[in-house]
Amino acid sequence: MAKFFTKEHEWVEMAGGQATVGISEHAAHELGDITYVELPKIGRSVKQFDTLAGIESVKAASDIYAPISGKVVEVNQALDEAPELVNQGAEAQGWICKLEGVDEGELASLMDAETYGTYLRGL
Amino acid sequence: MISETKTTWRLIDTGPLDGPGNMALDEALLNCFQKDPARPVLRLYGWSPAALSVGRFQDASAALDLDLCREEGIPVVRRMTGGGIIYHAAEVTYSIVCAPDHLGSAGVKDGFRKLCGFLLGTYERLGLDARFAVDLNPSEERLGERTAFCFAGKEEFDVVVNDRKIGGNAQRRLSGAILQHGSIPLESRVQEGLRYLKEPAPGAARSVSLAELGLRPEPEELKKLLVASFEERLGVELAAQDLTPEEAVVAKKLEEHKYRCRQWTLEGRC
Repeated sequence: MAKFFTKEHEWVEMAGGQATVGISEHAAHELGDITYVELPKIGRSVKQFDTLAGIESVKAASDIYAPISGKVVEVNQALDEAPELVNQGAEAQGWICKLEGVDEGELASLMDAETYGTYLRGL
Repeated sequence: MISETKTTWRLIDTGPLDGPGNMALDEALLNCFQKDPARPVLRLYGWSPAALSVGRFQDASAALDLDLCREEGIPVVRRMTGGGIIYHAAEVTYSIVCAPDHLGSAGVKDGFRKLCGFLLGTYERLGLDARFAVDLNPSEERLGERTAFCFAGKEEFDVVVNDRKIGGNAQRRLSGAILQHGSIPLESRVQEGLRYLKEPAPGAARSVSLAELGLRPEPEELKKLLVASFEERLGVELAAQDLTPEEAVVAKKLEEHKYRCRQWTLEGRC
């Protein structure tokens, strides 16, 4: 299934009713070397665009917003020891968490990859 | 003749406050700006009494000897920005609250370059040759390595004079709003701060203050240089203003319920 993106540079990808969430390659590049990822607590419910997690690069601490509403069922524990995984593959091994109980209708308010690419070129 | 209209930023000089008061006010300015992003802010302040601040995601009890801090009455406060521990004493501190648009939608690193440019200008006005670490092309040094003590590390857009880091700067980014705060050290008090760390920070000896560079400007004189450099480098006008009533109320709440809260200071949540 395709990825969908927010204006704040998060992505979400649906598979088997689960939503995998992360930050975009663009965001990871802009943040520079990532030194810490504050993962959300498993079991926490979030609403779309609410603060989901935190991320710190060499000097900036930023919020990561939920691209879709849902309940956190899994987090990428590897980021505790190796936050640089986000720099190495923000849209692959650097995923942040997985959500269940999502409303796929909310994907309509996000951008597909092509639209996100156009959005980035306009920044 | 058509003259280009400059954006007016608010200049708020709050004078010295204690640690929780300072951090609460910076967050209040950010939160209020995020709701009504009409007027970006440059705030100038100081710290009284001297205090230690820890970065947003630092483990305070792992990095600091909290028993010693308590015994000696040194306050500890957690910032909402990233970076390492800072001992705040004998410094002029600034905070900037603006939107990415005010920086031309710059990314984090570009944003640092733009927002720290006025520091280079200030040091230049003091007769110093100040550069960004990344522009000096150091041969052996690794930039960007995470260190517990802010002044022990050196990052790309840290300001460097005579190959020594001067001051520290850190950012918090929210949706549509940026807070950056940082310091200009009048005197070197780094050794005092190092006493409270659990682990030695050998790189800290390579930081420098204005006094060590033979300069002893009065804080008020330094603030005037900061203001002039800020207006020049960012191409804006600064207008002195007080806090709005809403900012004062939000700051008071944050001070009481967050920055004086032991759980926030030690664990980063409250």
